[in-house]
Amino acid sequence: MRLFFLLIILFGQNTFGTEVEALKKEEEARSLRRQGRISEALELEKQAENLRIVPISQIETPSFPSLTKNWNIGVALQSNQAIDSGGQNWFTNVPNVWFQSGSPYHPRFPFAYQNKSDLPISWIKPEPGANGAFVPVISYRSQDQKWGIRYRTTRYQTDFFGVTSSSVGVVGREAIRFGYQDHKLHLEIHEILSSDWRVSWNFGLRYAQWDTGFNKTNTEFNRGSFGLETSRYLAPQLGFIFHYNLSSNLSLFFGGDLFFSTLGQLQYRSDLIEASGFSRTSSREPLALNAYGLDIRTGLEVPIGSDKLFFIWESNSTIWRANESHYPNFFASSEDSYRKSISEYYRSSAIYESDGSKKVLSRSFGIGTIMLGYSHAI
Amino acid sequence: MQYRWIWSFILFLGCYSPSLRIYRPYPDEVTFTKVDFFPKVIVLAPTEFPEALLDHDLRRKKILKNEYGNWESLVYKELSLHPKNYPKLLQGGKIQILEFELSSVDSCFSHKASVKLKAEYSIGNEALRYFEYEDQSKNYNSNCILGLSSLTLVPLLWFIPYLGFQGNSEDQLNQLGRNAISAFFLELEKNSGKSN
Repeated sequence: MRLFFLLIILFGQNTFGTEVEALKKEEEARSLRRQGRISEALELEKQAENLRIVPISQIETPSFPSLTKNWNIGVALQSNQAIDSGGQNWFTNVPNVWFQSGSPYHPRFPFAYQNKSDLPISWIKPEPGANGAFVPVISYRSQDQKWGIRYRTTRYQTDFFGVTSSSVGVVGREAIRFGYQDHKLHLEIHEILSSDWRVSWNFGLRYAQWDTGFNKTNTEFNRGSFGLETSRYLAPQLGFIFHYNLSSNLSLFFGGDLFFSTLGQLQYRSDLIEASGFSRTSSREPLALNAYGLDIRTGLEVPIGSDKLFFIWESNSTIWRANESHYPNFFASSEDSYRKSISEYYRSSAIYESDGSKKVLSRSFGIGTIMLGYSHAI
Repeated sequence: MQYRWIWSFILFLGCYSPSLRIYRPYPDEVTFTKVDFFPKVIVLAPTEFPEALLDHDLRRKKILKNEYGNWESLVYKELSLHPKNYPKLLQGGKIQILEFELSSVDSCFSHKASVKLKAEYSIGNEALRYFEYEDQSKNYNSNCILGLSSLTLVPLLWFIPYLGFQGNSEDQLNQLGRNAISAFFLELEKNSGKSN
């Protein structure tokens, strides 16, 4: 954030208007005239006149890449951070599901997947792993600069680690994994609003998938569990980007995208291994998933000849809900495990179905990205 | 109190200093490259440039100088851009500004910008005429209230639109100054035989 503003202050100095200087010269010329030094006064007045004639280069339109080089291909380094809601903040008014939000003796993981009953108290210390990624940057602009195509992607992968402790000490370890990627391909319609402002309207398609998994061992109860939830959607997307020229070789842009999808699906699987047996709960068929969200993007671009450096600060947020209309498949190796898996499903089923209430609760996550990149015009 | 120094530091970091830009504004500006010299029109004023006093609670008092020219420049620019409006004045005249007080006083929880213009002028060989103009604007655009409102979100959301609507001290000074100049020139136009 500070780097962003520092860059603006350092490189955003405009050439100032010259009317003030021209007036100063004319005032001096006037006093010279009164003293009788006419020739010097005329010289100063000529200078003032020249200051007021604005050179053509100052009002030229911003530098687009050359007309013959339509493609812009590059690479960017992304550094991402995610936040999530779900798990511990299911404090709803619906009594059927509020108990699923967790309590000190019935804890929930703070991250996407609702884990099952887990005693004693588990304590998660989120330690996200390294989540930088190199992503390609591809865009195409038509010859007449009126439209273009752009491909964008965001990738995120992290792991959270934690320990379960009880009065006897550490009894278990758990890891939660979250990985997200999205691909956006859109058509851009460019418009020049003035010599400093440009806008492009974007219409496109967006495909995103994310998976959340957890992996847990509990030595006190001799139990291990593993779960995986895979979701994806395909959505149409609508957006805009405004570009502003801070100077002839630095421009600032900000924009956003909205998407909405009903073409999503979610599949989950949850395994439990205990001394009494093994059980697996898995979704019978892909659950219908709706998603909508907002991307906000802002950044700086520095075009240098046919190369371009850019720095982008982006936030992708997704709000989704899934609805399950069938019982999942329960597979177990013993009667105990079978009963246990069904009771676990009952205790956490509000994720995917409305449990008798009118609506399915939605979950959301957001990903913040800082991206530094370079692209070359071909 | 310590917060004063924090505010001065932040304001200094932003290199904030209001500029006084007084001229006669027109809805459709005429492009020009040269301001002519009218030796027959004499302009006298107590100070060479129109000046404004900035007296804010958290800053030292400051005298701002008009960046768009001194009194002479203002009059000569008007005469060279619109000579048709001043047929009699172009043949000779004397304008004397007796008093021009423009100030913006910020007393922590209120702000007052005021302008006072008193001038005497004679067009050609006619008698001396007197012109007086006074205006002020009292509102709550002050640095203290801005600082307090930025501590929480809801007062900020209420105060920032108000600030945008009223204009900051620079806007108010400039607007009052321009109004005074416009009123003066309107009076000059009327009395120097502007043909409509």
